[in-house]
Amino acid sequence: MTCIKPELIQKYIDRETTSAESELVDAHLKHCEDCCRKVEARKQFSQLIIHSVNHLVKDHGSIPAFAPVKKVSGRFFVKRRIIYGLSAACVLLLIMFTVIRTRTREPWHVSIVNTIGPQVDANKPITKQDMIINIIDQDGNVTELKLE
Amino acid sequence: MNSFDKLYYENYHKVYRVALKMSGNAQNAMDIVQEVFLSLFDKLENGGEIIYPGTWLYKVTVNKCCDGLRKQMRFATLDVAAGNEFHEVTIEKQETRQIIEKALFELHPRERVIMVLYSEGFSYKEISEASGVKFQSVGKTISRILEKLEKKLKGLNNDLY
Repeated sequence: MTCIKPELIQKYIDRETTSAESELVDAHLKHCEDCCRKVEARKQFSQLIIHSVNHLVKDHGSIPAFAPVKKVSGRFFVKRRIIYGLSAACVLLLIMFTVIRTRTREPWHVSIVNTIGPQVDANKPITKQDMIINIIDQDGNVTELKLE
Repeated sequence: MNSFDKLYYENYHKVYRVALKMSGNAQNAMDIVQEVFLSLFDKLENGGEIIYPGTWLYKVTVNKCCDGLRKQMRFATLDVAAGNEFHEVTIEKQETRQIIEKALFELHPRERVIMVLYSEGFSYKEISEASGVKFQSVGKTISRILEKLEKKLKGLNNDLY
């Protein structure tokens, strides 16, 4: 006959076995000294541990009056988070609009006037002639570019 | 006395015992108890219904203790009693007890929960409900933890055996 498993020994000690399991264990213990010793040792060790754990509680003390601390509602935090989020989104949108507006600003009015340079070489085609390009911006400043 | 006060005065010591056994420190235990009853107070205030308040309280206590221990990442300092508090026990027994307590506090928080509930004289069903361990596995788990403790104790003090 096989010996009892430690798990069943534990259940037997703690009186958590079913009636069938108890009968089985009792029958086995009648003729197995080894298991009897195991059961006894486990019983003693369990008691030792229980006593030691219980020993941690030396004094219960008196029951203090319960004073519930009014907790700040979680909804408040949710609302605050939404407000912060929306504010951040608004600021971001404002920055984005400002940047886009700056970039898409109306271009400067620039006038380009090109003329053939003073040294005209009649032997060259027009595409090979020196050329002066005057760029006049909206403020009236003239920039002269010479293309040779 | 309203339903909360009744639950508070009926269960305070039970919750405190579990919290103290789990944390090993009276001040931490009192903080945990306060948090547990605050949760209960909030739940009842908001119209929540608790069918088994005893089990609910133990479950919340155990979870709060485990959370606290995980946050600390180290076990609380042992509130080991001073010798003069135990005139009836011998020095030898005190040493043995301290060794056992040390081994207990080295267990994983979930394992310690089982041992604490077991020491409270809970049935396997109650241990299962409060700790979340399957009912069929409670006996096996207790047996395994005791074996683990036995090995630890043998390692800590060979003279114990």
